[in-house]
Amino acid sequence: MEISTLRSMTTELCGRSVNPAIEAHLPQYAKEVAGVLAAVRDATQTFTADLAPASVFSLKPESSTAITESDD
Amino acid sequence: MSLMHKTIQDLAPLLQSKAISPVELVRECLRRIEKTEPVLNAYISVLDESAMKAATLAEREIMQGRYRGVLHGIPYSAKDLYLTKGVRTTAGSAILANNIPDINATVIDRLEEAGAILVGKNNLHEFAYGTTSENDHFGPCHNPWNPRMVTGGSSGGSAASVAAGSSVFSLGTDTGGSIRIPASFCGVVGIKPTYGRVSKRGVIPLSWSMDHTGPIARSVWDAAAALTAMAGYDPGDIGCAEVAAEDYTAGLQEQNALDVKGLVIGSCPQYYAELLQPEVDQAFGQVIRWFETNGAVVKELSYPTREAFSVGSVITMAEAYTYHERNLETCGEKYGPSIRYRLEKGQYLPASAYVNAQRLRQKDRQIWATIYQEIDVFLSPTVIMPAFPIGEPTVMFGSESVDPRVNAVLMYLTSLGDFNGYPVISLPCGFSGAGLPIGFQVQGKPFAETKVFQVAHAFELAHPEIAERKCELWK
Repeated sequence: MEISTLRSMTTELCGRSVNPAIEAHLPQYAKEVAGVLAAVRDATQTFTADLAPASVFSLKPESSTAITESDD
Repeated sequence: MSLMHKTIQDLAPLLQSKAISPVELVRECLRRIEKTEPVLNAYISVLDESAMKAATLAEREIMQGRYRGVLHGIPYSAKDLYLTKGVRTTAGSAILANNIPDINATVIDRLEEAGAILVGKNNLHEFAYGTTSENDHFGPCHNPWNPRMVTGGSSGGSAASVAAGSSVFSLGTDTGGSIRIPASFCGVVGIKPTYGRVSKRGVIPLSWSMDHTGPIARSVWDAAAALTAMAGYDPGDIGCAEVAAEDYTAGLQEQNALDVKGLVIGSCPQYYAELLQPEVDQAFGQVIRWFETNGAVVKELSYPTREAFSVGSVITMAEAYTYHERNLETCGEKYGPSIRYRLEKGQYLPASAYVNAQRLRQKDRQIWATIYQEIDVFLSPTVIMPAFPIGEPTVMFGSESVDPRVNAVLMYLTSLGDFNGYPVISLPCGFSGAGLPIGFQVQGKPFAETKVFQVAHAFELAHPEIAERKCELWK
């Protein structure tokens, strides 16, 4: 990942300034973010097209067919 | 022996029968804090005045026959992430150094209703975004078993105070292991309940969809008693489930302890075998052997979604960045360097990465639901290593040398429970050669906290020598 890409993301996508603290870390971020995104891409290879995201703010028994309430 | 050396289970009948007074107990707690704080640095604020006032009120109520239950008159502390009305709540950060909330977190209100007495707010890893509790603004938390060592985090002050007898129980939060890692490093019990079991309203978020609130205590019974008071639906928390709370202590009497014969246990040794330090491997091996010897059936599974560890971090990174974005731009220099480094990274993730991480989470939950058709509980070590020295620049993660302040190495075995949202308890199972505690985890099905407590309790009851071993600072 290009450092200039990250710089543009900070300024153009997030509407922020690239301060010296961020600037100093950009090379490391470029490496780490590329690694994380590659891991996500690898994981998605096993997804079926109809796999929906988890319900973000709940693990309610009735909200997911995958979760069953404990019988304890 | 100090009264503060007793558990809730020991203290409750003494308070109810008026053999001891809440005033006496809270006074002793404040004395213990005064004695241990120069070593531990486990508290950011100590609430002497309000605690003594609450103790006087509790004493009056008990004397008048209005005993509220097992937490009435029990002193406890809370991670300084829980909002407390009129009491400074810093999240361990210079940004909130003067933050005085005008509300209590729901859980603080619930414990007040149960008669528990808040004695102070615990030190933590800044904004709960780290696993060592080396706090750049308030100083590091020190491990009561060896003050040169980290407590683990982010609820480090909570676990240290419980282990050292400067609170009877404490409130922590867990986004990637922040209750269970310090519980393991400090030799105490911590439970991360099912996502939605306990309200998070009024708790400063790290990652809305990964955050959990729960207690840290000195025994399984005590953790169950605290969770009983904390749990239950809260319409003020969008993530709180409408599931009835239970009395988790009900199945934990010595005479009706769970017989583990026939219990089906899942375990995934190949997931961590090459990463565990030998002493952790040995201690956990003894746990498995104890269950097998007592008739449990252990099924070795291949870990369903190994990528959950790396992909799950996308969710926390994205949500944490979102919460902190404005402060990072306006007062970023006030964050500790390692926290700022981790938070800023979140801005570089595309939306599709976040959504795909949530899709993996759904897949992970589906697979676990299938696995739980064949097992009752899932066991693993809590952390791959015991505590290490404060300031240690790197630790080993397999063959790699990594900085534990910015790498998720300590969360390798705990973050999976935050990802799937299932209930997990950590309890001590042994000690390293250097005398540092080692913990293991029991995970159960969603909302099956009762089973999780029963299995942990059975192990604890059979190993009194582990619970009886105390740190030097305990004296």
